[in-house]
Amino acid sequence: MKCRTWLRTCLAVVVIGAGAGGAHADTAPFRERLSDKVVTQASLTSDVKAEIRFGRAVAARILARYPPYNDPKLTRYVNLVGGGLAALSGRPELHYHFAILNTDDINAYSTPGGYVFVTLGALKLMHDESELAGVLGHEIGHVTLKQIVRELNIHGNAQSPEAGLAHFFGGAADPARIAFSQAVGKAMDILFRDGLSRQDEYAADRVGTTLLAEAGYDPTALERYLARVKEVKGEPTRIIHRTHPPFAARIARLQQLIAKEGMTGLHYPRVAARFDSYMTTVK
Amino acid sequence: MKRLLLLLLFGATAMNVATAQSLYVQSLQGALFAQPAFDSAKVIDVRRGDVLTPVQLKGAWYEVKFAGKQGWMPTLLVSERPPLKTVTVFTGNDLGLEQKARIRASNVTTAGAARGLSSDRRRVTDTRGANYSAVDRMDALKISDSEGLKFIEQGMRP
Repeated sequence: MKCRTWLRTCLAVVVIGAGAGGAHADTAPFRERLSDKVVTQASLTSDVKAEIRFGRAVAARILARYPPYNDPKLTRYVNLVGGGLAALSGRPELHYHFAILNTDDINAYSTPGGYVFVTLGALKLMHDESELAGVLGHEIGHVTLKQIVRELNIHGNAQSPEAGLAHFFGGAADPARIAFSQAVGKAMDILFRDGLSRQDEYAADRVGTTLLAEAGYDPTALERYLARVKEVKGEPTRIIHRTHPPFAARIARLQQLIAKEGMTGLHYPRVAARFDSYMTTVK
Repeated sequence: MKRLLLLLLFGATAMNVATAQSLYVQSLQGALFAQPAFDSAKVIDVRRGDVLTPVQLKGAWYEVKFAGKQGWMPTLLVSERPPLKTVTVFTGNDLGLEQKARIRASNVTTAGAARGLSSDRRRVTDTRGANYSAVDRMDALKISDSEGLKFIEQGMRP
């Protein structure tokens, strides 16, 4: 009986494997019709548009909760560092936007479509530009991996991204709108109350640290920053503790990643002097 | 019998890697490494849109062939589809679903409450707290990919 189950499992894996291979062969470029390609591109673009519109709505809610910190020079600096990292990430279809939230809370957020936020409290806790890059890279990771998009099933359709979003509530006009609002509310719940899964957070840490190494920053930066956040108690870290895995677990995984992927011997710069020069008005 | 099935299983897995589509570089720039490790030697530089031929997948790294060379690249930086152009949404006077949702929220909330959708009502009511002008200011600040990368590179210089 046991043997039969084992055989069945093996056959299933073989069939699935062969099927996947066939699918690749069917979609190889030389077999593709131009019309298929056009529809696929339109569909992809529509999904991205839906994602951006959704992300803007969530971003607007975040900016209502915490006002933006209006320091044009510092905001531009964060955008330059974040923009450079985003250029190295895997989603060239998105234009990333970065803002500083005027709160002493220590946290960072991102919404689908490439809207990334770092709090003033978090910036004050950082020691150098590489740590800023690590935090922004972690948030870029959430966007790159489309974690909220997948969690809430955000997609468009080839004709209109909004028509695609209507799937939330069956497609009629008003129900679609209320469904959109509900989805935005769910995204806010994820960001401020429930958090993503632990695996999603670990995956974003991996992306953040990989981007550090790719960009040429000290790859231990995110780990160093998390170790410092771990020691902060009370209100400023209430939300980040509630929505993220324990810091000790995240740090341990980052240390494993750094050792396993050959980052231990990289003595890349931390860029502390430039960071300090932009932070003079804050610290 | 077991041995035959294991062979089949192994063969199917290998076939998948061998018949996988080309991989496209998504990162604006990058490099193939001699080993699946960042501290190994760089074999060749690649740029966004370059087409790589996959050899095998190992952890978070692809081994690939490109321009007569073979090396490793993080899976994060490549995709099975060509890179898309940057997508933008029109945000001028054309009200998107997000703005319409905000405007119509109170009407819908009332109707929802009448039907007893209390948790939905709470969420919809919350949408009134949205700061779109701040999002517009975020959108207005545009940094090109090359500008951002150049800035980072400048910071690395001693």
